[in-house]
Amino acid sequence: MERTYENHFEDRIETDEDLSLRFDGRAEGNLLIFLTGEKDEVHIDLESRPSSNARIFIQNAFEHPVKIVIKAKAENDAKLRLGLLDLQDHPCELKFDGDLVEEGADIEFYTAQLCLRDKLKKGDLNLNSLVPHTFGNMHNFAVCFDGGRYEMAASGRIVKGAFGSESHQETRVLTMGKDHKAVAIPILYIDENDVKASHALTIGQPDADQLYYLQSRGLSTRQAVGLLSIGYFKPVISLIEDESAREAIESRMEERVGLYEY
Amino acid sequence: MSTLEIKDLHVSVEGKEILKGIDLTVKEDEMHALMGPNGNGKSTLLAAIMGNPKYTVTQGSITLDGKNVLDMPVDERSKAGLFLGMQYPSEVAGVTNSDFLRTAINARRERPISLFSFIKEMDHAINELEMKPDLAHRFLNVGFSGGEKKRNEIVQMLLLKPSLTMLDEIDSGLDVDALRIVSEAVLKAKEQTHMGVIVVSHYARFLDYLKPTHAHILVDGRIVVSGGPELIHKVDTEGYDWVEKEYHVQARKEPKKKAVLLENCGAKKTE
Repeated sequence: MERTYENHFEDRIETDEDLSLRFDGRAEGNLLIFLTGEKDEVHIDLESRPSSNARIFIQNAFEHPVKIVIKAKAENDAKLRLGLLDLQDHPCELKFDGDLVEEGADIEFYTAQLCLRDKLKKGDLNLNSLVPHTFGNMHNFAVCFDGGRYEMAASGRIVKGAFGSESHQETRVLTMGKDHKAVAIPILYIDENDVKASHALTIGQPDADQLYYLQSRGLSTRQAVGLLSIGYFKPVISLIEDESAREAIESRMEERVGLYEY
Repeated sequence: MSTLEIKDLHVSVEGKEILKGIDLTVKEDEMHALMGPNGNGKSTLLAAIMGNPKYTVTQGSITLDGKNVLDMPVDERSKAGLFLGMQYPSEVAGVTNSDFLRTAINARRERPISLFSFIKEMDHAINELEMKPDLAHRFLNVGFSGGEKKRNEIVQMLLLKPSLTMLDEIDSGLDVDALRIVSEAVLKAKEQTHMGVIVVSHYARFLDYLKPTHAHILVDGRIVVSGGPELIHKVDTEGYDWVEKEYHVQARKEPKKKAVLLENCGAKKTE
């Protein structure tokens, strides 16, 4: 499926087809993509033309194991905000390659994944600053319950000559219960001096004092843990501009993390 | 009629006995001031009632309306009607006040509260505590000043409507105006719900506002003297020395921090 967006746009796509989406010069708007259907591999190609500004929320809604491949290219002063929410109880392999190909290009990529027993959520992300004065940022959040599996390798690259560029990333994994396994590999390839780059990584159990505090207000352990999880999914969900769509997805997310288990 | 009954309560922390046999009964509409020198077990008592896992009850009983509180996990104690306004409330990044409170309210209801009713109740509580309107959307206690954290505890109390509230030095960090606002909110809630209250405070002005019906002095893990409001006045004017002399007890002293000495520095010692 190919689509080109111009001027101001709002769109919603529900598909398992490969997508090729282009945001024309100065186009500005929001896009919701729900991946659902029979296929077990889907490719999404994104092209942000000069001075475009796109916010894209993608939800994995496949009811079986899936591989999602996303390629993004941002040109002069293009801004691309992009996030993937994956709450499914099925394995998911994510491949992301983002290229900042002209000055002022800016890509911010979010992932939020729920990892349940024996279902591996695996990510391989690359965000490349190929010219001067570009901005790349990746935020990866995951919540692993009993037996959950998470592997995330995120690489930010600033090539020789891409001075004045920034490459940042954070990975935060909340682990709960037993037998979970979380592996996070943050990588920065920096081949230029005049740049800014950073990475932050946390993996760990919820804080005992926080849990006690929440429980002292009547939340069961499951609800308290669920509430703490929500903080990991909200940054992706906040990409959704449409209030009713956002509320529906939030409600589904709250149910998935056990907030309604009374 | 809501009654909290504590009998011969012994509590240890990391193997060290802090409470050595507490007896206390708090009925509805009563307000009990719990006083005593620092480090003698006041906060431990409140934390043990709430079920803080760091504290181990080694002997004795706690019942609320005849139900064994010690058999309940922390969340069940809250749902049974206990509320502890904490001295140091936790900060929880990523969780907004409104999400937290809506979940806490729903946890004690069969059907979830409607969004409209929740917003109305929350706005009312925020107004009553004269807090900023954006409170609902801020992360729980994150970036709050000391006073805001304490007021937020009272916002939670108003929304959760406990039958027995415990306030652990909730007045610390509050300025004079905030002290009055918090006191009025507690008194109004008490009048409306008839909740019993246990309040730990060193601040006479706070207790002047709240007008406790009972007062107790806790020294070295035991309540050594109980009485009425006159006891508060006596402590305010005379301190605790008279308690030690009159009741032959020795208050536990908080260990003083040792000064760091540079024993091997190059300075020559002279007599």
